[in-house]
Amino acid sequence: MGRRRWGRFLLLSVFVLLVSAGCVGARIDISWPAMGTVELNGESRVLVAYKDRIDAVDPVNGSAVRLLNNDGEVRIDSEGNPRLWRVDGNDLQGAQYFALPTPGDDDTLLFPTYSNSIVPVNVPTASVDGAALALPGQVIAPMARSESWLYVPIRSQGIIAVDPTTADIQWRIDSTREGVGAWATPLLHEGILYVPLFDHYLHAVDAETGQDIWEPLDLEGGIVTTPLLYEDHLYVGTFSHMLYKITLDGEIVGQYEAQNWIWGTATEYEGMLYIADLSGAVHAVDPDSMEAVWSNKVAERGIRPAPVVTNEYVIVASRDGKVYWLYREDGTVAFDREVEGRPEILSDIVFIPANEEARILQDMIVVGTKNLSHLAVAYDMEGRELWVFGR
Amino acid sequence: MWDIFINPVVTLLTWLYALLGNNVVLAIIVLTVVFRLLTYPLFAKQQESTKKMQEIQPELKRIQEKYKDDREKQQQATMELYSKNGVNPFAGCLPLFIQFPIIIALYQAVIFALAATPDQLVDLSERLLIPGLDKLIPLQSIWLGMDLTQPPTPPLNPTYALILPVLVMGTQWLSFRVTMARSNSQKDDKADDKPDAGGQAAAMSRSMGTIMPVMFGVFALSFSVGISIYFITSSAVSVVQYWPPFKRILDRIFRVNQNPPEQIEAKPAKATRSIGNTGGKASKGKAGR
Repeated sequence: MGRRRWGRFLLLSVFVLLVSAGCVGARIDISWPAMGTVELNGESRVLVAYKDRIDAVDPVNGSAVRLLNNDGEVRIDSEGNPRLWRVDGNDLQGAQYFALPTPGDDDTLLFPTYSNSIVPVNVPTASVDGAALALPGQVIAPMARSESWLYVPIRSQGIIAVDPTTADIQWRIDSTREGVGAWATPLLHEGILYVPLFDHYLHAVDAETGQDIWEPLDLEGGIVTTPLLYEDHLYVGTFSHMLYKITLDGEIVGQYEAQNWIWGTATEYEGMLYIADLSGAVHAVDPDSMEAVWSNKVAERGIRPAPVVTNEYVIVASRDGKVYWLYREDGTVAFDREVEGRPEILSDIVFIPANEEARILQDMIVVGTKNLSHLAVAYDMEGRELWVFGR
Repeated sequence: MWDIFINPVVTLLTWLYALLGNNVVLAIIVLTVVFRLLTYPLFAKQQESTKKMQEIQPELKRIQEKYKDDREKQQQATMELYSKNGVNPFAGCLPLFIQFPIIIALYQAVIFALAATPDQLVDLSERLLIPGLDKLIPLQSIWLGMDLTQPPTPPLNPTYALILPVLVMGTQWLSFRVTMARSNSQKDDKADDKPDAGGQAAAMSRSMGTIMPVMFGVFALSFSVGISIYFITSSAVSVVQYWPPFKRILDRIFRVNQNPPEQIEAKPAKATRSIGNTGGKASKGKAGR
């Protein structure tokens, strides 16, 4: 082979190597689809907020929800196509959505965005209702709301309490570290706001004034999960692998060590706590003793969303692209299902109970991926795939 | 597969972060310097190989001319020439290929360790190999008022952060200039009387020396500030590595170029001197063209 050919071969090899290793490996996405159920025009719908679009999905069959007029007829666009319940971020200076909305005034949903704003959406028409409210930073977790204020977790700063109509900041809790803020929704309970910050601190403040109720608690690990309130105790998972049990006075009274970061909020079911961690393990923890009743590493990769628990099963979804049904009694795997192509499952699992009136004939779960053709996939409790929603 | 390289580097970077007073910029700089020094023997080997190839360039050209109608004979004569001069055409590539995983791992480690978004952060959980480092997450990502996880462009960072892409371009240009100057001077030593020998390659190198810094500058505008720090440090280390007094020290430490082959051995003093004179000589050459 001539020298020139060798040169070409070398250049090509370097290029392939660079592309395969240097570029493909980097994760450039911001987050995963936010999913949850909301009431839209009197019907329960699954909302999928991801990147530049929010879609409403009919849980009965996974189809995109159509907009109806006052007579209950499908609205038609100028080209004669049915209009869908869809919010396009491109209509609002390229807004990016990764968090579920909070109810606003009548017929309005307030969507926080990664583009430093809150977008009010009119529910009957799925259109932006007025001007977006400006925020001082990006939002990746849903907001909480009291009668007075909206509590907005700002990714790189902390929590701000804002007036829901003007977005004027009433008070704020800033993180102890610059550039590190709130990655989880605060918990509002009896006038006290429990604020988890990524800088390792858990705050308890007066929801009206923002005054400290107790000294911020250093949990020695990043907190990106909303605390669970159960029998007058807070249960908070951290990146130091710990699930802490904290009294409402701010005293740590128990802890359980998992095998990796805890990202999803603990789920309580019949007096037992269920958590999953990013090693792929699932744990059933007795909240009194804070000891494991069982612990089982079920998935090849980490489990981010909180488990969904039913009478028979603990259901988790993993980054390995599988959904696992574990027996609640002992944590052994009953069965698992692969989402086609095995994309990482990172969104919260949505549980939709059977409701004959709404034509939902059986209990179902919906899992979400970043694969646009499989943004949401629904299964029944026997693991049968019911529908797939994609763009 | 690349995780085998990337995960230890992410872990090392996080460990250095803790060791250096929770300063991620210092950690990036120290790690880049250490890696560039550790891979110095590979750089030196690659340079050595390039040098040898340049030395036999006139002879190679003559063979190509002589046997331009007979590819088989041309190949045979080329192989004989390689063998006679102890040149292995792969010798220049191999160190390059060994360096790539290290460079890529370092580059990726900066992205993964800084983890600015939930999507990047969830990935970091599988990359820290030493227990206890989890407690350091998230790393302190603000440095001199700049958010290391964000691109240097306003409003994501203050306007003065735009100095970083300029520094990336400047250090890249300097690094290329120093490297090319050294190569050109080596070639000039041998092929001053044959101006077309390797001329095409030299022209290509000169174009690369202009295009690459601009390209990296543009990259720096869209990549995070942390990556710009890595680019700047990497180029700066590269410049220092070719600075003759430092190069001599490194050669001694790593015991490279201690027993050069016959062709180089004939004028070891000149080879060393030529490094020192490289800049001036190469500049003159360029100005004359």
